[in-house]
Amino acid sequence: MLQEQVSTNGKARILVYPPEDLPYPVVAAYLSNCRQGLQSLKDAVERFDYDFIGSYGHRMKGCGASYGFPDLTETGASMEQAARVHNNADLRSCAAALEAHLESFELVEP
Amino acid sequence: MNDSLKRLSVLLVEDDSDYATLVQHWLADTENDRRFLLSWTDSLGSALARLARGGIDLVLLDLSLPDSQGMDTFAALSSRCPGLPLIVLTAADSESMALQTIRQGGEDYLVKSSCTRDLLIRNISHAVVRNRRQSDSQAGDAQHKVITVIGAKGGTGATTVACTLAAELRRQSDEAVLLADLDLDSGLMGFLMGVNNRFSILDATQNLERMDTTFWEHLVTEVGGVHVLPSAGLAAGGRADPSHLSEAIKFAMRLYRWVVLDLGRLRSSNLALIEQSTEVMLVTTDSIASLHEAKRAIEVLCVGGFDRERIHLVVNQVDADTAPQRSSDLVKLFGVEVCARLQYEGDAMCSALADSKLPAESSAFSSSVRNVARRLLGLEEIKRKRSMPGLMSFLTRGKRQEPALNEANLGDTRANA
Repeated sequence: MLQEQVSTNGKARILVYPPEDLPYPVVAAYLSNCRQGLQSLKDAVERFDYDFIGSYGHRMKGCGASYGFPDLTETGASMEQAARVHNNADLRSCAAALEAHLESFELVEP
Repeated sequence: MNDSLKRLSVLLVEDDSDYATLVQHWLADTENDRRFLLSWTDSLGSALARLARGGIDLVLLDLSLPDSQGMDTFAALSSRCPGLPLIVLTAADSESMALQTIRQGGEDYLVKSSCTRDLLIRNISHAVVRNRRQSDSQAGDAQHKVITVIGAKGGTGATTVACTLAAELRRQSDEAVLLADLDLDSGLMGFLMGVNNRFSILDATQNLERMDTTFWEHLVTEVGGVHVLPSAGLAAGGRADPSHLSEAIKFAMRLYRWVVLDLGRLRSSNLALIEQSTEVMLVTTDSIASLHEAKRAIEVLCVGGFDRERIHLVVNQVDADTAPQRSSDLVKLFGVEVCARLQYEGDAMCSALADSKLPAESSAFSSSVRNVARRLLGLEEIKRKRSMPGLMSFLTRGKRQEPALNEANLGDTRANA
């Protein structure tokens, strides 16, 4: 089991256990990178920079599941598709979903 | 596990540093019996530059790069490095691209989101094995020929014969020829061919795991169109595992139409190298001692399962005017073809060899070796007009007295064999 949903004081959290083939600090660094990159994504959505968003989504689609975050892979794929067809509503929805995921992930140190 | 699989040099072409970090950890965190040496580049241009330096066993390729996208990336890389195993590792889960990759010679198409460490390692290992097997099979299919030159004993001039034969094979055919010195202690080939390369056949045997065409081309020196790979000589003190020598020669067989090997003398340690030979040229003089050793070598080869029909006797250093019927005596006694009797041309030959040169193309020696080369090439022999000095010698010296050749003075060598 890689993820576990819990709720504390009404706030949903997703406990993420690092994959067996990756050390905890490597996964923690990846999650930190994703959180740091979130603002640049939101900015790109505001300025309709589809190339940036498409590339961002493509990378997230490739990396997320391998680092133990299948939700990020799914969101990345949706984001890439929405950027391809310039669907701004979907892009905003993807950015919001991504922000919610990143806020709720709590990496469990083994 | 096969030794050649122990250290694989993998080039990862990936512009996402997060994914590159992931692969680095996957490949670093493997069991002790498997090691990967990972290089990472983040664009097609830098990947091509890295590949040009050689030493890469396999490429992991992301198709979406800053300077190239999609199947263009694959095509650009595979066309520049034919034969190098290439695994596509991409975020694009596309069945049509996967099929296209395999059709165009890619080893595999892995989708990042479903790729795991075990899957990646297994695919890398399988791809390298598959690729090597395919290369070996192609080498087997190719019309290459390996001519091994053996000296019956020291001082028969086998190295001069090997070098001249390689030079003539190149001159007469213009095909790719390798001349390699497997007489590891000698170093004579490098001297005769005027090669002053710091690399030797030992370097080939010690770098099998990173051997590719580019690396090989750094090792050899081109002399008159022939690629020469000398031995390191006695001073280098290196020893090569015969199986590694064999692997190096197998690799060379993929690259050349003709491989001429100077084996030195036949020894139990180098006997296995004969197995890859198409033909063996056994060089002897017509002294009784040398002929005795030649007979012994033939029997050792035949006992080892080498066809007698593929063994050819080269009688070197013969007087220009000795009785030609001795060839038929030799055929009768040894049961192998005498493919050449090479004249010893005294001072001219000595001074050429002393100057680190092969005998002149116009010499009787080279002319005879040229005909050996032409026979190997399936070409008609060139008749050589007897030179005036040769005629004068014939008129003035008369016939040299030769000791009789028989089983008694050559001895029964079967016991020795």
